[in-house]
Amino acid sequence: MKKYYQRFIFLISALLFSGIAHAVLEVEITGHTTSGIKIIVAPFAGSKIIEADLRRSGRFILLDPQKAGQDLVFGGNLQSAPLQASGADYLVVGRAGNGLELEVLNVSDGHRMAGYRIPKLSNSRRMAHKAADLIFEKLTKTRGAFDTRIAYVTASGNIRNPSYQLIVADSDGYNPKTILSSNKPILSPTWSPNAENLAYVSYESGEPAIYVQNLRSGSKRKVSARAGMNNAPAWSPDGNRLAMSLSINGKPDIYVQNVNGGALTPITRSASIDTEPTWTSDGHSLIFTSNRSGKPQLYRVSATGGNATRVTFGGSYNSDPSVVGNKIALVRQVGSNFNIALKDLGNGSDRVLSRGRLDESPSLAPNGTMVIYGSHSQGKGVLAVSSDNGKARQILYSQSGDVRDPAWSPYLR
Amino acid sequence: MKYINYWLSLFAVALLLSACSNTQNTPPQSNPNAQGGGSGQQGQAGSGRGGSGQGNGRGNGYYDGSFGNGSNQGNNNGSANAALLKQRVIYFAYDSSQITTAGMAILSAHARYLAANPNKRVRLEGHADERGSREYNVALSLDRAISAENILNNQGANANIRTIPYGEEMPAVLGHNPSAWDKNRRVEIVY
Repeated sequence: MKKYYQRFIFLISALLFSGIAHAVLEVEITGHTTSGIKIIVAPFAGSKIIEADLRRSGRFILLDPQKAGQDLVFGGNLQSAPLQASGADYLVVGRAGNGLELEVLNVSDGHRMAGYRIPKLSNSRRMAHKAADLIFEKLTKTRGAFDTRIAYVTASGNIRNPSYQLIVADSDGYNPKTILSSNKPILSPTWSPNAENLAYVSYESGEPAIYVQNLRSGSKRKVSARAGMNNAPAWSPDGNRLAMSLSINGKPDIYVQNVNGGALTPITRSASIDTEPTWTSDGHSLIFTSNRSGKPQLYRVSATGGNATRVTFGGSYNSDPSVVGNKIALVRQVGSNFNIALKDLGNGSDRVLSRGRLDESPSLAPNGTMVIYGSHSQGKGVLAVSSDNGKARQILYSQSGDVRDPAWSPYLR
Repeated sequence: MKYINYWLSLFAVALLLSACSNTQNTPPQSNPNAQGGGSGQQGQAGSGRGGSGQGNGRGNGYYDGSFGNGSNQGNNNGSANAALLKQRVIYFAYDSSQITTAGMAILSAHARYLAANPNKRVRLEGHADERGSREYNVALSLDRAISAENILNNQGANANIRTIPYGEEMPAVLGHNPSAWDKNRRVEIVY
């Protein structure tokens, strides 16, 4: 515990010294599941991070290690009667040393199901996220996505003197790093598939332009600054192209451009608003928002252009798709509220996940099990994370201003 | 709630005053009181409060096109025209880029001014309220600016016009309610 306080203080000092005016986002858990895999994570360095990760997925019920009635020592005898009676299906024990070792045990028979050793990393929280990923995959057969990052925008100051920052942090909001500060709006961050670059829209020149910035070097370049609108960049899964919405012909249309410049491929040409393109996971299609039917709805078009087919029909407003596999997270008007819905093209399910008034900007985790989105709490812009089953929900907020426009990174390498 | 509205109105007026200070060297002088009256006094949508100034009803928040006295349309009345030229903001219905009758009167006055002053440069800054998705709102705000640009061009403006879409990023008024939304769905005419 002491170690954590020291780390925390170190982090705070680091932030102060680097002159970054924001702090780590604070977390408020607003929903948790009452059904799922029952698991005890024994106390060890990083175990609280693992618990928080598993809880966020909406698939685990975290039981108090006290219920085991014994010290849960890595490598010890772990078959006490209280542990057997605790109701836990699984037990995770771990030990920090030069890295992090952990074991997953089946409580009923004491069987050691898996053992892992995570090498030491300078970002110590990442070791715990990697551990959570391995546990998640072992027990759900789905790759974990806790060891990932998020990009988001903060706005502070007042209406006449605003200040915007583009920030990249761990997926749980820790280790925030400002990559761009501006007194003009910043929006629409989107990750390159290798998680090394962000594309975004910035008004820093006085007019909106799309930039690509390398996260390691910080260097950035303008990739589209056409007259009118440069909007909604989306990186292709092969990393080579950006889809975007431009107003070359007056009405916003979808185009695809090579990331390194070169020819622009027109994808749509309509007398309506076409924007918010996102690539399907296979890179063959784009799903985008269009009001060609009169109200915003989602459509699908080949990534080389052609006729678009309508994807959403229910409701008067469906927009801003985020796609992973068969899952599409989107903004949907429900009564007078705007909420996040999750549509599964595979099994046909379609459900509203969020409960806010003004929810927007959904972005799915790369394994599709969680969605982060912009929401409001007490009049301020906050980020919210919901599990895909809608059971677990938490809010990430900042004391100092609005937080919005999140983008979940791909898997890290 | 009353107090919030009061402060919002005050804030809107202050904002307009400050916005005007940036444009004081341009010929069509902006009158903060006229604009404050038009946009700052509106209550909630549906409250039926009439707009002031040019007699164009802004009552229901959806700008149904009921144009109060009609005398400004295509008129050659110098003072009415001058009053319209002072109006630098036109408002829109939710998720619409359609120019309202009130907006048309203001744009026509500016088109006449620009036709007579072909060397003028003007920026049309489109905005949306916060509802719906951010990027769609940028596109919607561009569509609004382009609707305004088309009116200016069709009515003889022969000027350097640029459109800038801001979406919901630069609200005129803070607040998460119909009264704030009404004031944020707009195109600002900036000389």
